[in-house]
Amino acid sequence: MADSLPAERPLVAENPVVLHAENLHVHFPIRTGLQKHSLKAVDGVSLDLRAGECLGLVGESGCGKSTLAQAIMGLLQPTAGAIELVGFGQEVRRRDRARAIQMVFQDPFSSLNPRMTIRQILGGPLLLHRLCTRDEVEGRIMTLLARVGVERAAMDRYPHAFSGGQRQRLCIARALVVQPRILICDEPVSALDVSIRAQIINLLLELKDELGVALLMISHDLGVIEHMSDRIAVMYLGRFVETGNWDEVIMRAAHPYTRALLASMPGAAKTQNKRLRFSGEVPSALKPPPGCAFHPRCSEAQDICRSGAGPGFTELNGRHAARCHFANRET
Amino acid sequence: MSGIENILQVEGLSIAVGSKHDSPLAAESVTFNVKRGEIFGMVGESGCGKSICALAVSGLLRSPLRTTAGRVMFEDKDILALNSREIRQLRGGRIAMIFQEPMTALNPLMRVGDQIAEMFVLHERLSNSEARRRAVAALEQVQVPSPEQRCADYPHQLSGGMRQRVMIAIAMACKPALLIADEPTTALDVTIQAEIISLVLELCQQSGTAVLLISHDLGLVAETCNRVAVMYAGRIIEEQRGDLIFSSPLHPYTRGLVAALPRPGRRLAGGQKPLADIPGLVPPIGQRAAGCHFVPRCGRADAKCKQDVPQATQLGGDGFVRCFHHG
Repeated sequence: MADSLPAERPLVAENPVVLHAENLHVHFPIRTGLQKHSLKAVDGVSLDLRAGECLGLVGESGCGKSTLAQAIMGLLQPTAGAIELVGFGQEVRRRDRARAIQMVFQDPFSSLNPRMTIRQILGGPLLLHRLCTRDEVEGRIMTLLARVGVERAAMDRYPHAFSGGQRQRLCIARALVVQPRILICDEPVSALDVSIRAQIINLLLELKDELGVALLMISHDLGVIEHMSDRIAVMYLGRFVETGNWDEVIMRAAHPYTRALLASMPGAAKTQNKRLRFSGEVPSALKPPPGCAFHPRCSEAQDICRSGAGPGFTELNGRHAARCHFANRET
Repeated sequence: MSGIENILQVEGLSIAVGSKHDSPLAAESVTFNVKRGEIFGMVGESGCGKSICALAVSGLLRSPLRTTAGRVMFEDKDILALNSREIRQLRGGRIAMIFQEPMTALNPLMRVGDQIAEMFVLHERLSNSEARRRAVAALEQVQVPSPEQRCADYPHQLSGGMRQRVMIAIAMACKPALLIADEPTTALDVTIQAEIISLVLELCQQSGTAVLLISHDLGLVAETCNRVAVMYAGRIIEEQRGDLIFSSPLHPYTRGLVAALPRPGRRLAGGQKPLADIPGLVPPIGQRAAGCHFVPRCGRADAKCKQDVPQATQLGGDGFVRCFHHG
């Protein structure tokens, strides 16, 4: 049991911060008739990402996980708040950002250009960022393909010649070819079968440890998040509702939403209390409920939860915090 | 009819893709039965033939798929021998279905209330006004808030979870004897998934409906089903009690699947060890060798496995496994 202690890799917490986001807001203007609303997809999120760690981001669809990822990637302009890429100063050039942050998407069938060979897909970024000379490209691609477990003969084939799992390996190779500091994986295994899923999860974890890349792992599957993450952030309607070290969040979930998510996992039924499963769906982000956004679905909601600005974060210990009025209560 | 214990008996069902005599088989002598009121799960990766079997059971196989052997006995009728009119009478009435994507399964041009009411008009010959009243009641039963108003909505006005509830209301409208649920919650969030599944189970228990639950999610199937059949490359390779599939999987493929699944509590107990993966890929239809299809990915395979198709080894109690080296 020695290796099961929470301090599996205690070094991660001291690794340098590579990305810092402060009070990030991404709002989308929505017009219905004459009325103007704003959809608060991300509503005040702060996070740190350290080299070599995996931050798991979990939540239901529509909670803003992917919007947050796109804002960090620079694909969306945040309405307010700041994203600091450590070491690049305030104004980050697009090319530098693209080199520092790379992304792997959910659907490997639509995220590789069908008209480019693997050599073009992987070689293009190398030349664009002037990471090596033309003569070295082939060698670099060979090494990378071998590392992600795709045969060398793949070089001159087109993406259609590969299966889903192979394509996801190629997507990972494409993301890593520029040696990014941060790799954002948006549901990278959701479209894959169980036996292939395990291969990709293992590969991502190996690469994270080998290259010291920071991994932002987005998934709705708590099983995957639990397995991969060093820290977990649970997101609900544009906000983090609970953050903490993975074992704290899984074992001592303090927010009712996290507990309900845990209880909803198939296979958890016997250990978790079924009573915690909740009813209803995510409220519209256009009209978030007053008070704590989770109160309409929460079985423990009191009057204090139904009005006002909603609870702030309660620090449970230095590595665990939850946005609930009753986070400190023993359950 | 109530004397028959098995509501559905599938015997030696083989389904070919294409019309030639040597067309590759998508399902090979699939045999299973579903007892009255039981929840029977079929689990497997994409392309293993589980959905095709469901289509055959509901008489929905269309060209280029065709059955080449076997029988599908529902109650006392062979579904494969019925003409399309007789099948249409069964389908929706005695056999109902829920599909994965509720948006494409509902008619976008019809109000949901009318889509539910249609069931009562067609199968129970009710008048339109009576059927509407029953439709509201049916929506209420699947716990849709303010059902009168929702009846007038079109499918696009509802959320994914609500649409799946409407699908369930349609499927359960005539209290079917068998409900075929093909990946009913795959398109939904985990939280909604838990709700929808418990709703389906509750309704089925009330009306004594048997469920054929098809899913790629081993955790879900093991949790909900009385018995589970695991399919691989067109064959059922193992059948077990649902609660035993995680604790004592026997076929090397099932063992591999169980080991490959990041499951709650696993890391707390054993640390962040790499997940055991099953090397290689499912062989595509048409490239499956003789003998056991799992041979290329199996650590225990020997010469015998390459040559002969393993027969079912009966297990003590319920279930069987198709492997020469199981256990």
